[in-house]
Order: sequence, then C-alpha cells, then structure tokens
Amino acid sequence: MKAKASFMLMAIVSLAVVRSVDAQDLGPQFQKVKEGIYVYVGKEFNSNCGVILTQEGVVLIDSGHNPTDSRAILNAIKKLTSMPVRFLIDTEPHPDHTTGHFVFSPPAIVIAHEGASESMRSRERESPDRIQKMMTVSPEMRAALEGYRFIPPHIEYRQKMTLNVRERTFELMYLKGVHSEADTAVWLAKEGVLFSASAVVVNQYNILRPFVTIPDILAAAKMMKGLNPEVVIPGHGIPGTVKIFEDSEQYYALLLDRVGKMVREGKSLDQIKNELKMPEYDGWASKERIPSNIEAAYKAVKGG
Amino acid sequence: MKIRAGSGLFCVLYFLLVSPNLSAQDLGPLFKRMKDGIYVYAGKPGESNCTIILTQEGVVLIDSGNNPTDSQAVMKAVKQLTSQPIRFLINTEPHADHTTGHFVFSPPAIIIAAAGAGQSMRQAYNPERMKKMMEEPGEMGAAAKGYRLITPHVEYRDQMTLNLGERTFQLYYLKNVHSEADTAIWLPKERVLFTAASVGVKRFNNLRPFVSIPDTLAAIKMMKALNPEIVIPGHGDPGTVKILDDMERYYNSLMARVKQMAQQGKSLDEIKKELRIPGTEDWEGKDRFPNNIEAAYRAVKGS
Repeated sequence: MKAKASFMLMAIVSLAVVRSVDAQDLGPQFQKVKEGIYVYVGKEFNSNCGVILTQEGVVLIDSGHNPTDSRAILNAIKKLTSMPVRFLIDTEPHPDHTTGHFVFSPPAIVIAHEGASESMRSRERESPDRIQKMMTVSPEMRAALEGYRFIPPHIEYRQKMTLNVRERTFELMYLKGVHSEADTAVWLAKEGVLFSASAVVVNQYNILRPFVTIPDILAAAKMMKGLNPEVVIPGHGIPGTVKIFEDSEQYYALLLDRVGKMVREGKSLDQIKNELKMPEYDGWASKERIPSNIEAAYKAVKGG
Repeated sequence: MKIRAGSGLFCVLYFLLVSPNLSAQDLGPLFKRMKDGIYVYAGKPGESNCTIILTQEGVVLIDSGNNPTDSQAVMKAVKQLTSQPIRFLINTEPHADHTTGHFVFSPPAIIIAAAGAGQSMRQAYNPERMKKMMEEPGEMGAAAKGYRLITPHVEYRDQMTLNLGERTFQLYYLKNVHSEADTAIWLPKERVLFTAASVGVKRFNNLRPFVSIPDTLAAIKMMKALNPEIVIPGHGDPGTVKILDDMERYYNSLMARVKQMAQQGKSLDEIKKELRIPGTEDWEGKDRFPNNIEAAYRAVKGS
C-alpha cells in the first residue's frame, strides 16, 4: 500500500508540475500541434518524433533520427513534465526511428507491428559495427550514444491495436507494403491527429523498396484520408494536413500514368528509367530515389 | 547514466541475492510451481486461476485473481519471490472474477487484453457491488480497500507478442469461446499454455448465447497444435493437453448426440430433458448443461 500511496502522490504532484511551456522554449525544432502534443521535426528530412503528454505519463511516437535527437527530445520532455515516458510507439523499425530507444526504455514500453523486432535484429547482424561507426561522427554523437543498448519492441501487435493511456486513445494501424517491414500509423481520434509513418513523405521522393507497392501506398493514403485528420504528421517532413496525402496521390497518379503510356509504347524498364521526366517535382528532394519509384510503378502497371 | 548503471547493478544484485529459491509451498497452499519462475495460484473450486511469471525484467501476471483477497495473496507471494515490479498483467478475459483485482497491481502494471475487454468491463461495472465489497467486515473489505476500475491499457486484435527479458508471450484472441474478449497465452520456449476459460476441467462451461461450439472446437484444435507440455485453464487444476482432449471429446459427443436427436425430430426442450453425456456424471456446473445443449442445437441447426 505504501508503494501505491507514493505512486498516487507522485501522479498528483506530477500533474501539478506539468509545465506550461511554449514550443519555442523547447528548441527550434519543436512544434506544438495540439494541447499536449509536440513534434520534434527532423532537420533536412530526418525523421520526426511525436511527444504526447497524458495524465499518466508521456507517449512518444518514434525516438528521433539520431541519439543526439533523442537526447534533445528527452531534455524537452523534462521541461514539459516530470512524468515518465511510459510508451514509445514505432512507426517503423529502421534505425533512423529506433536507434534512440535506449534513451527512453526503460522505463518506456516499446510497441511496434509484428516483424519489427526481426527487422531490427537483421540490421544489427548486417552491420555489427554500426554504433561504433556512429560514435566517430562527432563528440556530441559519442556522448549521446553513451549507455547504448539494442532495445527491440516489447509489444508486437498484428494488424490493429488500441493503447489507452488515461484521457488519450491511440489507434495503431498496420500499413502493408508502404515503406518498411512493419509500418504503423497512429491515430488520435479525439484530437484529430494522425501520425502517417513513412507511407508518404513531404516534398521528397520516398524510397520504394522491392516489397513496397504503389497500390498499397495509395490504399493506405485513402484509408488515412478517410479518418479525416486535422493534423497529419509524416515520418519525415513538415507536419501538415491531408494535403500531404493529396500531393502524394497526385504524384503517384502522374507517375503511373506516364510509366503506363511508355509501357504501352513498348519501352523497357531501362528505357523508361532513362527517359521519364517528372518536371512537376523538380523541387523534391532525394532524386536518387526516382529509379526505385519508376520500378515500383512499372511493377504496378505490369501487374507484377 | 547514473540511473542506467544503477539499474544494471540492481539486476545483477537481484539474481545474486534477491531472487529467492522458494518452493511453491512457501508461498501458500494454493500455489503450484509449474516451471522455473512460473507459479499458479490455483483458485478454490470454481474460482479463477492467477499466474505469476518471473522474468529478468520484472513480473508478468496472467489474470488478477478471483477476488481482491486472492489478488492480495498473489501480491504477497510476488513480494516473496522478487523485488522486481509487476510490469504486465494479461487478461484471459474481462469478467470480474479475473479482473476486479487489477487495482492491486496497476499501477505500475500495464494491463493487456483483447479488443472489447475495456468496453465489457465498463458495461459490467457495478459500483454498488464494489461498495458492498469494500464495506464487508474482515478480510474481503480490507482487501478491496482502494478499489478502482482499471481497464486495459493495451487492447490487441487477433494476435500480439509480448517480449520481456528472456521470455516471449504469444497472445491469441479466441473468438466466441466464453466472453467478449478471450485470450490464450502461449510461452513457446517453456511450452506452457494458458487456455483462458475456453475449456474447463471436469466442469460444464457457461456457454452464453454468442458462444459457439464450432468456434470452441477450432480454438481447441489451434491450441492442441501448439503442442503444450503444461495447460493452465482459466478455472480448474492445471494439467496437460488431456484437458483439451477431454473437452474436445465432450463437445464432439454433445454435438453428435444433439444432431442425432434433432434428426429424430426432437425439439430443443425434449433434447434438454432426455440428453445425458456419458463420462460427465461427476462434472461440476450441471446447471450449465442446458445452455451447452442450446449451443449444440444452434450449431446443429446452423443458426
């Protein structure tokens, strides 16, 4: 009973000390998108991290691009509340969303879609010296990596899951074939806030791996638009509205149309890669990914 | 960093000094040790079971005991076994005889259940019942003190995996077997299976109108295929796969007999009056046999 009483006291005290802090006070990369919901927007298309306060503690969406980001996020959380980070939801298992888990867990419980653990482990096996290399990037990175541990998810759900943390409800939805082996959209229905994972990005070509399909991306975008979100927070890029989905839909429609025409003209995949132009998207970043986009469109057109 | 180093040191100390080598008998007469670090608090006849599972990163409970007095006994045993916190509490079902004691463990425990459990618990919540329980003189009143309705934090659909320390828990939603949100829990390395209340032990199950015998048989088949060494039902003594075999045999006999009688033109009422299933003479919960026949009749008639 002593432990319970002290926990209750802690909760009451914590509520009293949830601080009224402006996003600007947290640092230039923070945006407040709703009461108690902040986004740490990654620099130059680095991954985003959502910080969501509840009466029972903090829920994070992803853990920052690099451990330096994770440390900055932890510092901001300490300015916002004295409550612990209770849950960390991964929108995907790639290192630019998950390396910083160790900064938050323990105590945070890490949640991801089925397959996330295996994806993380296989990357660790492929590059066992990844962390050592990362340490050489800068003294700040070395300091941020102190105490690094590989933390795979505690909870791996299949298809759908609901997380209830006091006044907030998080609906987790698996997005199939959109980016990684285990993509999760996170929907806060009451707040009208949607974390769309890396299904769509903003002003940037997405990397479309061989298992990613454009029809699956379009289906995911349609499903997420159907939720009618007020705020859309992509895995990478500036948070916005459903326009993020609409822009992606327009891009993929145009890409499919042009690739389809060239296929009907009898052109090979290599010819299409050489000749296809998308001048409407000259301003988008990561142009080296255009070939993977053309390959995905070619597969979709060919029905393969 | 101080905190992390401290937590590492704590883990080492825990294994060297704190993890007590207790036998189940030291915990009390209702405890049974099933495997290393896995203890079942087997409820009194008809009451629900509750299981304590120790891991290197804390405790996982399966259900929270039939009544708050049971929950308090389980909490006492956990404290005897380890100084680590209870990190997760998995519900095999949302009914009060498995969930009333949540408040004893959460916080800090995170409650996990199948989708629909939260709604089922909120609908069934009866503040009067709890008020009465808290006002009871003696042990029950004392155990129920501080009661709060604690609904699940995590509600999964279909399947979920929980990884904690060295253990893996696979959760399977069992459709239409007992409650609105039944979960079987499988520990593949330990080959221990929690069947929820999909099956009983020498006991007729309460088959509510939405419960389907074909769904229950499908659940039994799925669970048998896991090839468990130890089977821990929601109620009744833990055992082996024989628990699943016995229930499968019973439901198959029941279905066959009801089908035969229906084909002979007998009405549901006639079947209820006449039907006996050999081998169940000593089963408990005979008042539930009529709803078992109703479920078989529904299945036979395809409704």
